[in-house]
Amino acid sequence: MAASPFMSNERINLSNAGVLLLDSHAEGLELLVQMFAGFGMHTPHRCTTAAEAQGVVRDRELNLVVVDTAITDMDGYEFVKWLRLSGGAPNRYAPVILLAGHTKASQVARGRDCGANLVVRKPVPPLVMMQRIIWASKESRSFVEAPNYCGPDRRFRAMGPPVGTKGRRHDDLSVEIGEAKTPNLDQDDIDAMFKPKKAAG
Amino acid sequence: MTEARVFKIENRLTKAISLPGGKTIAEALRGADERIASVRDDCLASLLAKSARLQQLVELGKREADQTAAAGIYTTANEVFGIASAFEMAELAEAAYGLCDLVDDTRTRGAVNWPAIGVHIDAIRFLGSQVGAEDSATRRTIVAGLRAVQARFAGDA
Repeated sequence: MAASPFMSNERINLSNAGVLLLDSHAEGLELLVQMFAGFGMHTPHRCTTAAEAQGVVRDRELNLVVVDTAITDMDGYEFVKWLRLSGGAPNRYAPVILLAGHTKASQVARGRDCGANLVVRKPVPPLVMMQRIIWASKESRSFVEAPNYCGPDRRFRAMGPPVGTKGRRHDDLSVEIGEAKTPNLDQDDIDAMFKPKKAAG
Repeated sequence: MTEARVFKIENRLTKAISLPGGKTIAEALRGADERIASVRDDCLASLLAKSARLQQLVELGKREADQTAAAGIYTTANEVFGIASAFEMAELAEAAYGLCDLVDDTRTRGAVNWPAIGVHIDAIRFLGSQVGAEDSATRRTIVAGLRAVQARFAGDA
């Protein structure tokens, strides 16, 4: 058996968390409901259509949203996009885990671009779901609101603006590097930045 | 160009799951396994109905070249994949996934290959009826045959 990635005394309390589970497939939804019940959740908001889920988003406070990509009345990607743009605070900022059955690479990018925090390919056994819940709870990325995107910051590595663009953020820098205007730092200066020492006197 | 707004948000999930009480993660995982096992029979029983639906849809598609039949087959095959993969029915899951691939390719190209879809559905019906059966060699042979069909279909593109 694979070693558990969790510490033996690590705890989770989902009993009163507001969790929305959206899956149009009856058995798929039942599997999710049972999994979360096993995790200790009392009453998840279970929905089989996006319309139903939109009602829950408007009426309840949510801590986590779990959505299947294959929803009958609006696909899962569109639902997440709606949530991020029109869901209203605080639910529009809730962590979203998107579950995908048949997945093509283009659909993974769609998952990232619709504003989901995580995209998980099926099958999703309890261990995998638990890891994703923990990851989502430790999510520290900033939130971005732009005309074409609303969701967690997709630039989770400091790589600057997308290639071929100037960038739209006030702190985006040009890719062109100019001449240095001050002398280089020596190693002591650099060390001091990482290990500051108390000033004497 | 409109500037993007970037800001920090409060992660309300962190707060909720850190409240006193709850379960250890080991207990939670055990609980989830038990709850999922309790619905296994119902989920597997639904595979027969889904197989029958696939058969109806492919007959409709062959007869009337109906695009909605192709969409229905994709959705149902995706559901079969979800159940089969959740309960570790590897060959059935692979057959259902292959059918999704086939229908997806078909949509992209605009020319439905009904015979290839029909072969996959026949295989899914057989594999779906093999719940609990020991004969994995036959199942593996069937899946190998489906891979050959997919390769042939990809070669025709």
